[in-house]
Amino acid sequence: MVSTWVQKYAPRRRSEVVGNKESVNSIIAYLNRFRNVKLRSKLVKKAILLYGPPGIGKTSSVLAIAQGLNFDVVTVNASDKRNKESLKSIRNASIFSSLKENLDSKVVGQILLIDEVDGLSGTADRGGLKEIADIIISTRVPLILTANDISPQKFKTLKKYCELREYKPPTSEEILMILHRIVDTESITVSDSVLLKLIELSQNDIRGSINSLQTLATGNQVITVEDLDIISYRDTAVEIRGFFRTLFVEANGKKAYQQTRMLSDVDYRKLLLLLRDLSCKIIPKYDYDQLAQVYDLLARADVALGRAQSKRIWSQLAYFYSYCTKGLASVITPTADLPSFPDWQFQVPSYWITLSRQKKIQKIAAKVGRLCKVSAQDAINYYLPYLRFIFQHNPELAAELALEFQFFDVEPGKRKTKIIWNGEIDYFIKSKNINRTIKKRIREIYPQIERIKGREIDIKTLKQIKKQHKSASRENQTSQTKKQKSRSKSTHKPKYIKKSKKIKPEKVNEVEKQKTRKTRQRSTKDSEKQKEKKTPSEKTLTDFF
Amino acid sequence: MVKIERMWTESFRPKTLDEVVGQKEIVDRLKQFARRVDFPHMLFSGPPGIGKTTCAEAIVNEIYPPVERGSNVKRLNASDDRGINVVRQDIKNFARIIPSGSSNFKLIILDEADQMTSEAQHALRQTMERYNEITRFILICNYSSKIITPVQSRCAIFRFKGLDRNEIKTRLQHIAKKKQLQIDEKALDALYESSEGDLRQAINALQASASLTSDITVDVVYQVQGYVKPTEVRAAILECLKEQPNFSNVRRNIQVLMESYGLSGQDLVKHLNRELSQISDDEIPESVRFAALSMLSEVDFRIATGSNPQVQLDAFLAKMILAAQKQR
Repeated sequence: MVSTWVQKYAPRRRSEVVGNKESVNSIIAYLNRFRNVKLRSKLVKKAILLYGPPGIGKTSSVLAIAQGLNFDVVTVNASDKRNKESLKSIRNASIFSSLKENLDSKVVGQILLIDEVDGLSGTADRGGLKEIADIIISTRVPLILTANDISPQKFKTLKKYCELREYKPPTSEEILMILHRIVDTESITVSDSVLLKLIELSQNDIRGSINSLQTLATGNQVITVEDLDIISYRDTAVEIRGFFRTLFVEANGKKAYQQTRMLSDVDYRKLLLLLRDLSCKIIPKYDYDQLAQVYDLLARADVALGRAQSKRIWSQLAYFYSYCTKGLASVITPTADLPSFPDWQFQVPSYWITLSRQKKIQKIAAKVGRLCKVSAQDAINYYLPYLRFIFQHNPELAAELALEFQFFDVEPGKRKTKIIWNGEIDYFIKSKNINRTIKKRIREIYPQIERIKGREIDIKTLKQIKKQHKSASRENQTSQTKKQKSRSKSTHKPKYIKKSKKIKPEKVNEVEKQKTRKTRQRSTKDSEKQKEKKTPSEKTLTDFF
Repeated sequence: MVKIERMWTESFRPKTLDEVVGQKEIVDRLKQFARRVDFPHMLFSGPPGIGKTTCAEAIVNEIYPPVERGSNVKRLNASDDRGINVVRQDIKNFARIIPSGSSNFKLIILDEADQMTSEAQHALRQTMERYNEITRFILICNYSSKIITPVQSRCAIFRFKGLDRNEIKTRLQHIAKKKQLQIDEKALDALYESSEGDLRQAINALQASASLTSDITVDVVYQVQGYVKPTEVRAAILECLKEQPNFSNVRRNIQVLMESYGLSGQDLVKHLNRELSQISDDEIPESVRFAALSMLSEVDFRIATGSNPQVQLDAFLAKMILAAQKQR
């Protein structure tokens, strides 16, 4: 099989797009308005943002429409790096409406498609969202964004600039029509009830159901209800919950062990960390025997996992699963029910939270360490505790140290630099009053320091300029002497001078030679100075003689 | 004119070898090296806060003119990436380019070198040998045993000793005088004792004390120390030892400790080890203490070899509680 069915049966024309008629029409209307220069200038919202659950045709419909209207689509998706810098180049291209060189004369224009906007990573794609907003403001090509969930606060500004269009999952019947077309072309025998079940399992996700269908049909022309068991439910939340139920409620180690095979989507480490959190909630508080046994097993599982992952001894993975399932089940007293987590799918192990908090401290420690010549870890041990004490008790000194370590971000403004608090001071001091005094003090001192820094730079550049002047005047002198000499010598050796003009090193040597000759005649003091200043040329001089 | 106060460990860091406190024999030898402007690769080992990095920096100050320090000296510590790729590329590329200016060789200072993986250390071997003419290394570590022997054999090894009471007190007094602080003998003794021979911590403690008052007494020093040492570790151990401890509380406290202080798993193990050894016999039965320590050694090893610190510490706490309860 060359391509996936998802690609093979993607809509090619607008008429092939299933569902979401209104949104699709609005894309076309938007494109038309954008092509008309007069209408474009009146556009209040210069981009269109399509949002809705995955796999229901947001991207496909854009591609299909573009193909129908002969637009070229340039896609930026989650696999590309989308931080400030990389987006900036796209922005520049979008201003000059030349995202891609097109050779095809049929093409009437280009569309910039920024896919999965909510997939922008907080750290790796820093500043990305703001840059996208800037692209929208300045773009001269139509811009379409897609996202799954735009409810988070960070999309607030983006939403202001965009025309919002929601995509809803198509009905089962609509997806059934798509699957029918595929089933007919691929000549697969399958009943409608099986197809409907498949659609239901994928939660009306077109892409998901096509993928499932392809998985079931590989090497298999007839699909029955029994086959549906093969496809792993995309919904791991239900699955992992079932696994925990088998383990803690049924205490059935064997069954749980077998279920782990279905858990291929779940990261091993996450599973271990979730077990760790869950055990603490489930095991009776005062059953110390059981607690010790369970946590000892988890620790062993952790060791086995470490060997498997870092030393690549994959056979250890089986022991990891044994510890986590058969081992745990043998020591656990079955519980009546699992504690209810608000959302199983997004349950985050508490260790991850610890890690993310530690990362913030690491960043602060790195700043301290850089100035105090220690690593971040040593800064945490040897500096941060004392700094915390100082911040707690002496706001004046704290402010100065905060300046020294730059516990804030700065943004150069037109008149003066703006200070932006990044929460690093808050790490040292919880008390709001002291916190405020420290920040106030920093605001007072910072401009003064900036001025000093500016002056220092000025002095430096002045010195440099002076140096340049000196060396320039020296060169002038030598060239003058050279001219004089050459004039006097010109009658004797005209060829030689021509040569010396062409070839640089010789010229330098020649100059030195002339200089030293001259200085010898005049005074020895000068020559000494010259030698001191130009020690590297000594060698060439002696060589020359 | 604004003058910004800095960390005293930096503003009072000796600029030349003459100013370095203690380590007389080593410093004398280093001075000879600096005078000749030639020395072999060197390995400084010893406990933290006794002047290893300072000596390396002083050498830099003495043998390189200020303009050449940027281009001829490379400093890397555990915060920098020093994996095998960096050693093979960045360090090698730096080492094989001839020094700029009048200097005969470049200098690479690898601080906290014992934190480098042994693969990275092996990769270092050849670079040290091949570019010996133009690049010298100063490796700094707490434990020379953590440096692989082939690298050790390429270095002149200097074992820095812990500073004694007088050396630390004199230095603290010098700083106090410069900063116009009143400090009595007892307070100086208290600073020395709490620092365990680590001058860096002693100076930091002095600065923290001075942030409170310019008249430093024992009480002030104790106040700082009480604040600085995480008391939560001992509290957690004592919680485990009492009747009917609440496991999930202890576990959460340890977690909070890691979050709020940024302690790594191994740092926490170190604290646990110290507290376990220091808790009085009345509070912990000897058998429990020993059982806990032996479990801790296993936890330490597992964390060092890449296991998850919290999973391992959970197991440690649960088992220590069980041992304590059985004793009752």
